[in-house]
Amino acid sequence: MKAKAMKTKMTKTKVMKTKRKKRAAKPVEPGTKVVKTTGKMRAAMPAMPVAPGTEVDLEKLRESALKTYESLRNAEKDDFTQEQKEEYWRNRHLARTAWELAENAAFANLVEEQKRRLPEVAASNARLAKDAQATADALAVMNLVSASLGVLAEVITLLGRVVPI
Amino acid sequence: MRTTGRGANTRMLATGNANSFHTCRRLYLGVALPLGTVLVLSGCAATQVKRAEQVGEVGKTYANALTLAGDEAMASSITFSLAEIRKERTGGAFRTPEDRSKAIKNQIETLEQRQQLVETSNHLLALLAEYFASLEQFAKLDISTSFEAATGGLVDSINKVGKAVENNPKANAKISNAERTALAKLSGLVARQVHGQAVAKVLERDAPMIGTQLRLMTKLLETYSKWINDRSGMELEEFYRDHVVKPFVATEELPGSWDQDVRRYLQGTSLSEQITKAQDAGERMERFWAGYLAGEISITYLVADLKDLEKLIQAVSDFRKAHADASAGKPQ
Repeated sequence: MKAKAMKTKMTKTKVMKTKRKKRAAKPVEPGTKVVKTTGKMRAAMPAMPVAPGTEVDLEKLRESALKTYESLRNAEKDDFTQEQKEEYWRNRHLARTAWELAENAAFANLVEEQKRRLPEVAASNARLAKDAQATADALAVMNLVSASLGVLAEVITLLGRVVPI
Repeated sequence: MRTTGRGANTRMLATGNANSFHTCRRLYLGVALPLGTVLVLSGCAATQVKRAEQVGEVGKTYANALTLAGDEAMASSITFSLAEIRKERTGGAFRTPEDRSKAIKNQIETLEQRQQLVETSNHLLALLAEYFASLEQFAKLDISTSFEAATGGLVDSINKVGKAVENNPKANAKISNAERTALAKLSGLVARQVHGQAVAKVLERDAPMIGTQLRLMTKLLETYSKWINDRSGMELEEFYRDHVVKPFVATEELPGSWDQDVRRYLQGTSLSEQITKAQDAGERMERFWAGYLAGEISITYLVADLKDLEKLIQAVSDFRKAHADASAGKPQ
């Protein structure tokens, strides 16, 4: 009996230690609700949003490239030697290229976001088409019932002539 | 519905026409009462339909204006880049033929990438415009007339069956003409009400999608406005320095085109300011949507706003072309 109690105590301690280890490996802030995610849940989750700051970073990059380019454009180049002038135009070309590429990168990010949202638009389009079809179907059913009753009336009249009731 | 009581018959005969009494009472109980209720409700249905029509119209106009803005922003990028690379080449930025070959190759690649991105974005916008157009069409779908006609036909068929079953071509119709008309109208009103509810449901269902897309469209408009404005701003600044200030400060006689150059500069500045203001159109659209969800329905100002945006894009395009022609020395 005593041995069994000892064994249970040891097992409990082992479990507690393992739990502590697990907690230590993944610290959870107090008050945070921990939900275990299953494979199914992960599959149902929407696509990961863009890492925070990406859009802002690209915008900052664009802004800083533009500023560099603008400052080069505004530079007074009248007193430059021929060599300095060539150097100036090379730098200006590089700054403009950097600015245009930064603009493209920021815009590509935006278009990517548009693409990510495309399924929502497509789904709404499809549902709307379905709704319009349902309305048309309801009307068609009304017309069909009306036509069927008309045919039924003709059949009854015809039968009445052939087989006197 | 047949009256068999003697007293009732006498009363009806005393009033004049038994059939009309029947018809009136049945009409009142069976049709007029629900008709009144439906008439009250149809007011709400009409509002919902109107709201959906407006959202459809605004969304479609906004998407079209953005497509135009994208095309203009692209054209502005090409004009600017080509003018700049020409200056850089003249200034001696590319020493060897290899340098020049590499520079033009890179430039074309950058512009091609941008062109592809704008085309993709426009394509995605077209799908959104299609949604808004469908929404407008769905809201405008006048099903009440069709339902009135269908119900009228249905009533006629019921009457035909009734006559056929009685095996008497002279038998009275089960549903009188007055009832037939009232029933058809009632069905039309009910159909309108049901349609109004369906439209409201669509708007409620798609509200998150519309909100997200409006936010994206705001960002697109901001981007395009920046592309246009940054370039025109830099060009104007240079133009002002070289064609307005420098000749005036110099001791030589002012060139004959100086007045015209000042005018061109002023026109460009005014357009630049308008583009900056146009950037706010996106935010106004988002505000409209928030207000719309809260129950506001007046959008007339917004449609006018978007039409103004289209006009502004056209003006910017004309100015850019005129400026490019002037820079290249072409006659205007």
